[in-house]
Amino acid sequence: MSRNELVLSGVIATREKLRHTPAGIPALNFLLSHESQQQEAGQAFTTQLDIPVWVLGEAAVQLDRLAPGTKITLKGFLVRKSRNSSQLVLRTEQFKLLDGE
Amino acid sequence: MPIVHVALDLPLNRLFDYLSEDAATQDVGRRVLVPFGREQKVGVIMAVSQQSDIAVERLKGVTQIWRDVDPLSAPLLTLLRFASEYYHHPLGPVILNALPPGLRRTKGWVPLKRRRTVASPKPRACPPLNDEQLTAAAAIHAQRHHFYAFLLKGITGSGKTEVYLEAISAAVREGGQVLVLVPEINLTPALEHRFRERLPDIHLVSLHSHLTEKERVARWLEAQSGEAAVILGTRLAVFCPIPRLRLIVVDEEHDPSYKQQEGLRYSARNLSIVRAQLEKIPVVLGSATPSLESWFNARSNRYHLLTLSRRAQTNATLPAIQLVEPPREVVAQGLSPAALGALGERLMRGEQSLVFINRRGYSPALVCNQCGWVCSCDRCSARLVVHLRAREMRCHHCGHHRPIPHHCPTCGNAQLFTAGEGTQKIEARLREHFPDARILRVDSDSLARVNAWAETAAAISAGEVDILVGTQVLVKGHDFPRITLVVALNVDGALYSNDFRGSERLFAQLVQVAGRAGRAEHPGEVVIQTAFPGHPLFTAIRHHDYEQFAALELDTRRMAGFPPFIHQAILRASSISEKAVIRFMENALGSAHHLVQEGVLVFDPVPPAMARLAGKTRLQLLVQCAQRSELQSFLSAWQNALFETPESRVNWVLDVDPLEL
Repeated sequence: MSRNELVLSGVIATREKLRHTPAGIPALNFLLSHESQQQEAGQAFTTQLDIPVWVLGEAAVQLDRLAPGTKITLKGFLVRKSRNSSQLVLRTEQFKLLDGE
Repeated sequence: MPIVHVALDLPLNRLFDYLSEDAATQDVGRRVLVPFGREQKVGVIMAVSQQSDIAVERLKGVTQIWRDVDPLSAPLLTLLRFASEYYHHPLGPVILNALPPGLRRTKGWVPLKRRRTVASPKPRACPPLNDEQLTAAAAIHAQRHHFYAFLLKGITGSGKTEVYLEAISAAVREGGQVLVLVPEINLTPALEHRFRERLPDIHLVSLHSHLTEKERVARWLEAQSGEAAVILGTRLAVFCPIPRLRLIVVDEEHDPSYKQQEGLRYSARNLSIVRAQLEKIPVVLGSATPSLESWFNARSNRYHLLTLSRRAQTNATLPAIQLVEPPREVVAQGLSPAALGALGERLMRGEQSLVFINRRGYSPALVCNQCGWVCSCDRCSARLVVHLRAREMRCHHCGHHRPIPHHCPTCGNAQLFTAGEGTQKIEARLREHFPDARILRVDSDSLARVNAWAETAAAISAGEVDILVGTQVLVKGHDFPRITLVVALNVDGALYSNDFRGSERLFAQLVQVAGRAGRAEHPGEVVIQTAFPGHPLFTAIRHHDYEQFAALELDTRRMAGFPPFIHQAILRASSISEKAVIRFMENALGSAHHLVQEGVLVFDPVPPAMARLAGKTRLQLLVQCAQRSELQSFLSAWQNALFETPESRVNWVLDVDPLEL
């Protein structure tokens, strides 16, 4: 089976207002800023990326209550932004707070 | 024994003969109850004679001739016969539909016990008319004994109604009756009030389809007896019996709602010209943006042109019109920064604004941006419209509705989006942007309740609303003097419409919308949001120049061979069975080719824009000709051929002078 699973931690950067899909499901879009140390070719490598995150359901309501800058870990999958776009977004319904790290 | 020839409401091109002992020629035009198959039907006696094509012993007797109501008069029957022949619709349904529903009941008719009386408003004196208004009223009065067609072209706010009132009161003073047609049911109460204020001693009845059955009969009878001097009504009133008719006024004559779009597809505006011709009286067509047909007739001196070029209140000026090209990123949001800025300014000054968007609901489409799915009607070739308030998807064509889908049925994506704006979405955006403003949405959804219109109009007039968001129901002819800003959204669609009348309608609509701004002491401003600010149509709008637009448009029509330079008719057919409708159209095309004469052009059958409607497959076939009379004689022969080769399960109708292709 083809796999599409992404676990990514980072801080909540710019966040849009909580909205609802036309059918009434809560939906939240925000930008996750990620920074980590990776190993590549025997070398420590500092990575940095920003990725749009689309959250649906109860998780959207909970994430909406967190202050920007909060550190979280998300588990979800990658989807193109729209049919005609090459930009990827992380879509998820699961997150964990990363406190004290 | 006398034989009566009866019109019955059946889709057959013939009358039905019955025996009646006591029938006489005075009974022509009377209602009659006759046995038909196993039931009883109401008909109207069209002729009384001693002869029938059917053997006398096979004829049945009438059940009853009703003599409680005066018969339909000979001139009215002539008009109805003309309508049946011209629109190629069977005579029976034409005659029966001219009667109010209360007089079509097999149980007969019981008069109203007590008439609801309308309290007359305080009389209001006539404001002084300016020279143009006086000239127009005098010209109409001068022709009171002849057939004469006037086109009264007056810019918005130029006081056309005052000219009508002047001409009407002159006709009534001389003992005549006047028929006034208005396009919209919602307009009758406002106009009725204004007429009563100004003509307090005149008996006026309004006639439209929102009356109770008995009330409608009572008013119809008051017109027929001559008791009512002024009959104010929607298109159906053109068939009202009015024995001393001396003048017909058609207000907003360009309005498409004068054309009935089902059954007998008549144009009440065109029939009012015919009626005036039959009665030898003047008819006045009034508009700020005449239909190109009427304008062309005025230009070629078939109609006499009367012009009102100034606003009636001397200090009132026409609004300044600004064209705004919204930046790309706000297209999805509907409202450009320029529009929001202008609205904000009015809020600060405590003035009223109107945002016009001619689309009700929240959004015209629900889409999945992952796979491209669009939520469509199962029964029509149409998208379902998102109605967020009612939490459902609705088809604006067949009435089908369903809950809003939770996810895309094709790929499963739950992040569905609404594409485009309707009144509800604009209302929501405005509430977000101006949280303290008093915002009111006015569309046919918000007006569905009884009395909703009266309450809405009162709130607007009392200044209890800062921003109005509305469709054309809000702008048609209503006068709200507090509005100083009009913002028009989503107008570009009509520019790429495949209907050649799209731009004509857009122009009329924008002029009407713009006319809402600044009618009293405040100067008005209009902001039109468009991606094509350089389009000639908008240039003409900005200069308030109908004639420039009409000249351009007539040139295009002449080159393309469209009406008014050609006369058209469409055969429209529909069926549950696709095969049956195709077979019917093939036969219709065959007989058209067989019957066609030089000069008549027969096109091939094609699906209309709405190829499926309410589960039925539709096809249409256009025929056209430069000469109306040649087209008419072709249509008569063709119609007979169509009646002779019926196709079961296929409904068909000839639409003469169609408004929509």
